[in-house]
Amino acid sequence: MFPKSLEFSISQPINDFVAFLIESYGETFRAISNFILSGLLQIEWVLRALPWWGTILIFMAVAYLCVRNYKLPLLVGGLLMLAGMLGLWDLTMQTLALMLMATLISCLVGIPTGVLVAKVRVMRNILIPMLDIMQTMPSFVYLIPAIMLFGLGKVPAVLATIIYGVPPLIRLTSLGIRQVDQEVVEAALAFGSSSRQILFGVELPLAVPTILAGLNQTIMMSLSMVVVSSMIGARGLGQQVLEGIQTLDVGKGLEAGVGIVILAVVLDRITQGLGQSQRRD
Amino acid sequence: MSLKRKSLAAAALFLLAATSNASAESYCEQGKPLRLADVSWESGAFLTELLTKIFGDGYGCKIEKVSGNSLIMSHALITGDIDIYPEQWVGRTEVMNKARAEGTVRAAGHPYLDAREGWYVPDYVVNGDPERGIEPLAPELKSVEQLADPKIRALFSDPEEPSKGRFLNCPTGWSCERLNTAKLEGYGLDEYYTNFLPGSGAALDAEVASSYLRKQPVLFYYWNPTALMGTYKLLQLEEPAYSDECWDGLTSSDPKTQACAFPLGEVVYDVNVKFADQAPDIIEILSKATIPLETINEALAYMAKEKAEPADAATWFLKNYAHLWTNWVSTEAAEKINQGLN
Amino acid sequence: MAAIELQNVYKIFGRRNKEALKMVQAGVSKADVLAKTGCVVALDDVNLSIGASQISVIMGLSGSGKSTLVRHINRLIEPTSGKILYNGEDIMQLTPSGLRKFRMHHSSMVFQSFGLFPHRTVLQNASYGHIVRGTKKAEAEAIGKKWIDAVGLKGYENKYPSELSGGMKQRVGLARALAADTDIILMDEAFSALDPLIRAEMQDQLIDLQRNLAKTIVFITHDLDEALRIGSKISILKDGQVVQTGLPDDILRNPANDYVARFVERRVHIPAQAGVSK
Repeated sequence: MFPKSLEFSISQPINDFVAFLIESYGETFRAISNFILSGLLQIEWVLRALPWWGTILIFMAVAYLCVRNYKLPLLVGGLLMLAGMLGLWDLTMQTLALMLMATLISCLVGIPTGVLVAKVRVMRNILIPMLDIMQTMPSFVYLIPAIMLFGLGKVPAVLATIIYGVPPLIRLTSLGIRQVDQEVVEAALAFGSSSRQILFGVELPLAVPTILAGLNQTIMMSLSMVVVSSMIGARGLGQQVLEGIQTLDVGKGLEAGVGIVILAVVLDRITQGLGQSQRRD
Repeated sequence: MSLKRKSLAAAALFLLAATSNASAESYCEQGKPLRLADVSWESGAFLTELLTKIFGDGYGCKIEKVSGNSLIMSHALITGDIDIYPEQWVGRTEVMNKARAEGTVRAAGHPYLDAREGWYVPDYVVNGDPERGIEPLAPELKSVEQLADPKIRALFSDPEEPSKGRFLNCPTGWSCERLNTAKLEGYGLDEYYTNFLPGSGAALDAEVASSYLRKQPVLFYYWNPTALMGTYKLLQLEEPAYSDECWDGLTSSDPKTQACAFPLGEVVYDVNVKFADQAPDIIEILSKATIPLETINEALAYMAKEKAEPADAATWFLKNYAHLWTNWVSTEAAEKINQGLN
Repeated sequence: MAAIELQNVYKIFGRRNKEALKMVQAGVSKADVLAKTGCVVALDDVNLSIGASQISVIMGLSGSGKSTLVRHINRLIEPTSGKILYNGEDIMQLTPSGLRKFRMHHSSMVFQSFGLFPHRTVLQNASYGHIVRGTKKAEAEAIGKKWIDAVGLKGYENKYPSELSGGMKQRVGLARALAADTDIILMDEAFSALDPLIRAEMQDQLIDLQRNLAKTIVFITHDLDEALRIGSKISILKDGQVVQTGLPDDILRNPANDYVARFVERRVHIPAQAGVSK
């Protein structure tokens, strides 16, 4: 038995702190939440307002621009058609909107953080263990306080998705920058470049393929949060999976699961294609 | 654990000796173990612990707690692998309905009466709370019909769809979710309110707790007995009285044109009939052991607030509500239970 | 006239370099310094004058500190102690922006593995020096194009470095340095990665260009033949110390010590047997 006298608990102070935050700054958090929500709703509005064939054509065009061949656009078009035919169109678009918003914020947060991690040793020492925590901490542990602060539904879902999904983007951005040939950086320095010119003109462009690989992983990990998101009230494919599970309607759950897989394959292939087209040796 | 069991056994032996001059031997005095379903939800776990203390301490019964989910426990009760299932909602599962009809299982009493479920708002929305400095936002709000009022709707506005109010339904996939969805339509509220599915019980609780702490209005479905009910001052909105006719329409016809209150839930101590025949003394105690709903809510709230184990909540109840439980048991047993508390 | 002067320059790598510096200055051997402080002495009291408008070669084997030395001149590496003068002005005193201006206008560099920007075209690489200092794009590219022509890469302007051979890449490197229009060009083993034929060609080209341009070139090499061929003056570096500085002839005729003598001997004997300049 572990001696009782050495035991301590941080649960009460944390509970008190969360309660204090909610009571004192609850409305501030809700305002932030509403700001994120309005962006998300706009993306969702566009995706849901577009005719289905328009969305499919846009996806096929993006796929074509990324890989410059016809195989991927056809695959993407076919898979999205299948999602529609399974009756999952609207749900897929809702999930997609959530994913896009989460990915957008992940990029806004993840890439600068990755740069910081690459450049500042202290940040690396602090942030790398934090990334491990973000990926291993069971999500409900931070989801419940997140709900209390940000409200139910899409916003905490986006936040949870980011927390779980952003670490690979940060890691690979940092890796991509540290992998840039030192002599190339030296060359830029030798010609009098400022650190800003080096970052934006040399390091980031050269790290793009690695950053895109990180983005790809981020999207894939985000998709695995779709069901968890639905457990805090975010609509979309995850909710149907959850409904299938809770009511033992295996078929329904599987159908929605297929929808998630379709979304995963489409986004994975497109971002991978983008990454490969950027690779130049 | 084993030490506890040994001391229980010793107490049982001692009691056996001490009360052997009683007119008829009780079930436990015959040395038979009392097997209880140890279910996982908070009220069920509380009741199991309460019965453990009453029969274990008061009557020297050898208690065996068997854990499992509700479905497995129901089957175990039917086959006689357990004796008592402490919190069963009557009419909720096919298996139990059949067993009740066939006479293998019967109700021995009610742990509490009138398990209410319904649509709630925090009390301060209607009555305000001078102590927390909250003005009543909707003093006129009493019943579900008023929810269509644009002024009321605006109070519960859904940030994801600001033109509508937000009704927090049951978590996705629970049976109450379908019923609430039907009721929303039946009351004609579906065009004014989003039918928001919180996805999990924890998410629903967190949203209600957060709204309460932020003194904001929130409209949600909830049920008794729960810690939440004991923790916060909530107000149930009035609904048209339950009738079988209305309920049938609600659950079968489409589209729904009317709706009414949930039926009051009947919750019982279910016992295996063979056991019941052998243990009239225990059945008699169960038939008396009814706790007011508010008190159960309070015990559950105590559990949640103090992060107490169900066993601690049972002790807390026994200490604070002696005037209730002393009526259920013999004076002699009451003394022993009280001794066990210290 | 000495364009660049290094005075008592020490460079010590390691966390406890201040402590190590004192030990080195007190005459403790490099091996003992390493053992006691974990610090590596890269440059040990280097004094060097580099003449304007000529090619000065710094020669040494790998590990002698020559690449470290050349990076002190544009402060890509900071000395642990010592002075570095450019036209009599101590560049150690420059502010960060002053240093950037110095690099833009006075010193450019050519690298052993070329250091080209793989995501920029040949033209964009060649005009980089001007882009950095904010010259208008059209103007910068016109200058870049001129120097691409000068190094013989006309027609390759829109290729990416990955599409070029090693020799062509280094021509781009050279064009980039020349286009920057600085009076100093630092060349760190610029031709070492090239095969012998291309290398000789590049050496010729450099000598040709230098005839017209009269830049102050600091050329780092480990190859005595190369040093003798292009250098107006040669300094020999060993274990972070300059062991001899002189005209090519001086080095050949009067090696200052055994180390230089062995270098020279090898150069005298090997070509006699093989008949090919290595």
